Amino acid sequence: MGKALPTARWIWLGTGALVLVIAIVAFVLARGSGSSPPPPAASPSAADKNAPAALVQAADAVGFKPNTEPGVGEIEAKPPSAALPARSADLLQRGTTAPPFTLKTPQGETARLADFRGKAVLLEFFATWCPHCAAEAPHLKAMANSLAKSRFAFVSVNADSEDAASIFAYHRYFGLPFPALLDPGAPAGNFHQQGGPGPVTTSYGVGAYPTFYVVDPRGKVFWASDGEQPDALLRMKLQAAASAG
Amino acid sequence: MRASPLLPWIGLAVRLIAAGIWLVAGVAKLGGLTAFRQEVAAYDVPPSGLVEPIAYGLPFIEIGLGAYLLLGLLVRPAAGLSVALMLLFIGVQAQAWARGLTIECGCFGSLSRQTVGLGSILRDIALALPSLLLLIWPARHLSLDRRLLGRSDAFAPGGAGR
Repeated sequence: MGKALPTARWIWLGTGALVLVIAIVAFVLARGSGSSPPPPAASPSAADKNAPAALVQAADAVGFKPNTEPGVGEIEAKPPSAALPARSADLLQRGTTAPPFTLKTPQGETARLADFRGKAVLLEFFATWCPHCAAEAPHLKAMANSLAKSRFAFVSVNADSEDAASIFAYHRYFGLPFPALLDPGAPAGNFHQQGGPGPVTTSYGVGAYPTFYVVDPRGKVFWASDGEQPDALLRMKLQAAASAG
Repeated sequence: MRASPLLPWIGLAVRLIAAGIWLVAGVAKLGGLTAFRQEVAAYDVPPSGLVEPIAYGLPFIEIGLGAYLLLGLLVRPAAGLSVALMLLFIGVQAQAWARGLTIECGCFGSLSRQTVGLGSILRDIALALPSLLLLIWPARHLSLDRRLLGRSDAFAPGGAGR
């Protein structure tokens, strides 16, 4: 007993030190996850790496760099209850059939909303110059990578008629694992100049960037809102939509 | 009545199962910390300032618990913490279920994408049983507790389990 006591004391001291190290690591990781400054360029997806040289050149000429401003990128880490009310009064109501669309990626590939039937879809309307959209991008990427592709799909639609080069530059910068689609309207826009909404953007009642829709596996609107959103809320809505469908 | 010589080995198996549960849960979460943070936030229980420290600290605590149980170090306190954590998880899931939230449990990271509900609660109750057994009867066969501190194995014939 007399011999064991000092050993026990050392073990408890070591355990205390271990708990302290864990607390420090958690604190450092939590601080490091703050998303206010825009993230550095991510590794582009395989599709973006193999994009046509002309598109790559045009995207390089855009000089894309994510915009930011104070207060941006903070709500993503908060709980669902931190979400703010939607600003646009024209968002489609729950239960409405999500307007079908057929749009193209900057590389010219076609994507239809109907392609994702049977999955819960997170539909994001964005602009490449929009700081809130840039703040959301790495969060959406992480969420898309962590959810089962058999049940969930992510699609971004450019909401201000930007050109293929700007959209490709944005998609490549963030290394997004889901398509970003062109929705051309008038006037045309780009990373340096806001354009007008395209027809699909108009049909979804988009009035702010980003706007999010969760579409259930039957193609009905399950939830919609605009502005940056807590990651947990988007995730929860997607889960609920997948279960409802 | 003579105690079976197999009992210490059964106790060791219980301890290794409890250790395995925590190690798998912790390592699986480390593989997707961002997703786990989103899952913790989705419960809407901790204040927003605590979501990230919890999400980034819990996997390491789970791995630490698993390692302690694996090595048989401070078996009873580790088992006590295991049971307390499991009760906390069960309570948090029960309130989410009662509120009708459709969220992922987040219990085993990307290894299991179970939605919170009766199934996940019953599973956690079952997973708490090995730790509860160890809390009552600390299994110290092939343990550091026994080697370093001279503590007895509650599963051994005549073991007091102090």
